[in-house]
Amino acid sequence: MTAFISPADRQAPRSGSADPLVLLLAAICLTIFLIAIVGPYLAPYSPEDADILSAGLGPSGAHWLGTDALGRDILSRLLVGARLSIAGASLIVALSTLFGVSIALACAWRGGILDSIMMSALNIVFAIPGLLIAVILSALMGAGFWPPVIALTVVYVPFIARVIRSAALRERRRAYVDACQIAGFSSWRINLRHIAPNIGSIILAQATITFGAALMDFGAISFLGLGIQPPQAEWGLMVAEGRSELLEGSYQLSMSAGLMIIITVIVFNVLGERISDRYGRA
Amino acid sequence: MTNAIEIENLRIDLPRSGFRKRVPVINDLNLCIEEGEAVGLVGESGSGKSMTTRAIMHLLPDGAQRSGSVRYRGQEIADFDRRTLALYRSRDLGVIFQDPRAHINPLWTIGDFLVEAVVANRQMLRAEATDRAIALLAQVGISNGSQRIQQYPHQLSGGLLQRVMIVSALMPSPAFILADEISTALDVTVQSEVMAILSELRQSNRLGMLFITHDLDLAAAVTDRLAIMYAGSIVEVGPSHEISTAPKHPYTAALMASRPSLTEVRRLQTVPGRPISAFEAGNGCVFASRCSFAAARCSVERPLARQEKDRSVACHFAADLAPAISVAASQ
Amino acid sequence: MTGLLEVRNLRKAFQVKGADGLEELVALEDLSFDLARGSSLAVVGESGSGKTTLARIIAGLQPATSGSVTFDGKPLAPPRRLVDRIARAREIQMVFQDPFGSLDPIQRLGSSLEEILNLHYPGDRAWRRRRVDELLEQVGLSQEFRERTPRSLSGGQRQRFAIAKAIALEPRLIVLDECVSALDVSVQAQVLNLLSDLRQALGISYLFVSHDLAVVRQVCDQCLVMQFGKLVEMGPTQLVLNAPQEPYTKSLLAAVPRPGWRPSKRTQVHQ
Repeated sequence: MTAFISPADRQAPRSGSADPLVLLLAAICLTIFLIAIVGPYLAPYSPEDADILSAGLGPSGAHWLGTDALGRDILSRLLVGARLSIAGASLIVALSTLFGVSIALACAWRGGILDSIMMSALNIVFAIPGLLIAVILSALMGAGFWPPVIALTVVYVPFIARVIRSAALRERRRAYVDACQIAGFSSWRINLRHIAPNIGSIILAQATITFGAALMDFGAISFLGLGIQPPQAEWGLMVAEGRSELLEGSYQLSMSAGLMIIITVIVFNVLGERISDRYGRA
Repeated sequence: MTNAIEIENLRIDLPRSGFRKRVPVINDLNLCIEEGEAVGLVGESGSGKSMTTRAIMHLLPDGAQRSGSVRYRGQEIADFDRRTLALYRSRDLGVIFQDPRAHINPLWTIGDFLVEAVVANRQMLRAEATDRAIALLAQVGISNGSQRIQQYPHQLSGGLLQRVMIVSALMPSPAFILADEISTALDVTVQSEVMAILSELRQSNRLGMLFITHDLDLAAAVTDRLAIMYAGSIVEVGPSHEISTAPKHPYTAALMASRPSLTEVRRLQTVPGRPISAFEAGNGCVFASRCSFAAARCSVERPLARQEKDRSVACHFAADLAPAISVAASQ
Repeated sequence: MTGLLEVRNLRKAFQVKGADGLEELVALEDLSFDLARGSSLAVVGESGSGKTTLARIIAGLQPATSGSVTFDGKPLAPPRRLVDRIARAREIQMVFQDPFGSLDPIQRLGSSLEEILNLHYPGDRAWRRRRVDELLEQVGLSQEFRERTPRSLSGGQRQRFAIAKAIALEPRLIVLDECVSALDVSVQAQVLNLLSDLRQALGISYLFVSHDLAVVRQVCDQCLVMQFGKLVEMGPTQLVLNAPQEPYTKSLLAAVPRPGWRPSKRTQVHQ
């Protein structure tokens, strides 16, 4: 009777209709991914062709966003740079979600010593500023695309594991998990086929929010001169390259690359928040 | 006798996900409770019985739309100003909820919880209120009240805590008790004791009461009259002992026949389907879709409550069905 | 005749944090009883009686602290290893109290039954499909329920489906833990009749845990009354309910509302 209605109540707002804001934001995110994939083919100029004669031009019909100090077309570099930035952030999110969710499910399921040790280890990583870890690891591993990806994966695993572990613990206490055990299901099956799908929206929300942060940090490492190296195009690197021009009053380079980062981060953050508010049974 | 509570043509519509417009949860509800009278409101889930208590408290959920009238001692409670409404809720009504643990702040002592309302509305001074709390605790069978008021909710069992809730409802000397499924979470032996205490206190203080429950036998034992509710409407009203022995509405009869007996084993009579809510009921009789006596007329025309002496039944065929129903219910 | 289930000196204690360090909370103390083949045994008690703990131990969700549980002459292994879990699943199934929490909220009913059948009897898709139809029909759910998720079901329908899952592997014992107490009276009657019919048709034994004596009488031929983790009284349901021997059973019976009943202050037994 009324005593048992409460557990169902929390499912009540999950009506069939999708949230229009989520749809809109998801569409923007898809567009950003699309740019990252087809961007290089849309670029009007080669991103790495320097032309000293047309260096530091303002926006014009030929160069919509102008050119940088080496005379390279900024729009082309933005479109091409999207590939490395988005690929970097996507890989970081994919890897940290994979490891984070696996650790979380294992800890929530087994509990006990495994849980205590894993959670203390993650808390130690958690306590050190993320960017510091990433910078040190990148410096140790050398420049390039993979060092910051690996370093930032290490940084984000605890963020994801902590949230997902508490969601999985809540889910594990529900009676259907007992029912699965009584049906003779293996722990793998219960975790992967029953618990994980039921906390899927929380995982999605967490991954989406992490994407924004990963994009920002990936750019920041390139900005600091580690990670992606010139003459390759990457948004964070482009903000750094634009620094010296800022003093000369030519701000298109830093601003356009910076703006791309900011827009992407905001869109992903709002989308993640919205998903977790609306669909996450947190 | 004057009426303490009068509910007339009450209708409450609530927003509901999946529906564009608000949908009714209570539809054309009429009920009067005299001063000092105990009425049991019996119904299954979704019948709207808890919403009825919220309407009496004038504490409806967000987005609710109300029409009709709820009067306390002749005054329309919707017209109360904020101050009068606050006093009405805290001083005239004594409310006891289903889950005492959810309604007591776990960080407060029992004593603080009991005296808060009466001290806040300046009915009593703190010392005076504490004395009254200890005296009332003794009346509900908690003799070491002066120690109990220093304890915290988690130190008390469910049965003790529900007695504390009764004391809290009685603190401001209300004229009327609202009790919503107060014994559902309790064990039967504890339920029996809590109900005995409540009945005794209610009779000695001549309090009116609306007792809401899903248990017809329990309601019949502690009230003067019963109102049987289904899908947002009251289908039958009458003296408790008459309804529990000779129901006239097919739903009341079905409710009694589907309850297993303590003394004999027989195949239970079932009602097909599940209890519905008011918005699922359509234009006809609310029970038509599950009623084994339903005729064509029942699904198109809503029966009005027909008064016959002190009983009222909302069924087109109540008179014709009387013999069949009494057989069904006694089986 | 040997018992299907023999419980001997069962004890279960939990370690709980108390005022001074770890304290032992005894949920079951020296409990022994038999459940005969094909019979239906009620375990009756109030909150804190240990009845749910007993149900969970027999279903294999918890290990006992000491004592033994024998099923069909063989000791029941602790359900830690997967092979034991699978073997036990075919012998003992369970239906839970809360119809809203005990089903995977996003799994379609058809897929849920197929998953169980496929795990235990892989192969032969056509047989599996037929068996799913048969199971749904046995609990009174139509074919269209195959594609529905628990979210769209009422409490009574969910509990019917939970019963379908429990009988899917044709176990010899079903543990029912307060399986009708969350249902409305009119729906509860449907489920109780279903349980009686299934037992007659399939010859399954029930271990029926409940606080509700009237419900117990309806479904069980044997009855076991528990209080504070100990056995109070046991015997045929008719006998225990018509002529209770122990004061606790008497007070329990006296407290059940029925026509002509009045609440009384002296029914509660204090610890």
